[in-house]
Amino acid sequence: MTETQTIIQATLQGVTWVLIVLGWMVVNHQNNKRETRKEARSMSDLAKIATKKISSLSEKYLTTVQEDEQLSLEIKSELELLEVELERFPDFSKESPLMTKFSAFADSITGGEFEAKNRRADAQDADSVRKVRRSRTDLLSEIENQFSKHFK
Amino acid sequence: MSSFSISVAKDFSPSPAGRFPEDGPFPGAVFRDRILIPAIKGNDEVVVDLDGTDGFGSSFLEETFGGLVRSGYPEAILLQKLKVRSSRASYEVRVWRYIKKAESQKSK
Repeated sequence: MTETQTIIQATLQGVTWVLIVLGWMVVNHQNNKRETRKEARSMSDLAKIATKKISSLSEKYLTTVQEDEQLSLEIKSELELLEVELERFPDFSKESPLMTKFSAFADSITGGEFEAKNRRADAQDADSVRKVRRSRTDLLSEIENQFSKHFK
Repeated sequence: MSSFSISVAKDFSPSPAGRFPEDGPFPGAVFRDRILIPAIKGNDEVVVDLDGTDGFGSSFLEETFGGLVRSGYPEAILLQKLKVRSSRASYEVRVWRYIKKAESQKSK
């Protein structure tokens, strides 16, 4: 084997290894991206389920006349759990849309006469109930926006 | 400079709820009038720690902190004297929003 052939063979071997490493890096990157997307999908779905659950608890609370300390406690606790889920999104900070929508949702549920002794039961189509539904839908949309923005 | 720390859970109740005294034993107005206002009067800085409770309704937080503005403490003074701490970021954001809203309603 001539010296030139030896150099060509060595170069080809080197190129082969570089291609193998590059290929591995591409596949690894795609796998990581797929896994992150799966985790983010699951995180978004959990947050959306929690949002719907709280909205439903809130409607029950607003349309029921009796003082229900257990239910108000559950609503507050579930809101904190939802916030823990939302904190996993990259954009859950002071002036972010996700924080604004979450705060509006929490206010629509636990503001006003929440935990007031003499509160009255509202009708299913009362403004208070509609406000909860609107803020729930806004929050659900924002969760989906955040998923699209960061993980799609 | 004197600084004073208040833990809602330890110094008031782990189960704060409601706005007014008739709503229960640990409402926002009572926390504000008995604990928070005296602390603000007597200190240059007051740190309110919101951790360790069963959670807060906006009604409690609005009555406590928005109520500070209605009780004669403008936002400008509160920005200098009041610090809110919580492991849940939204509480701090909401507290300052209630203060700002009470301030804008006062000036109308």
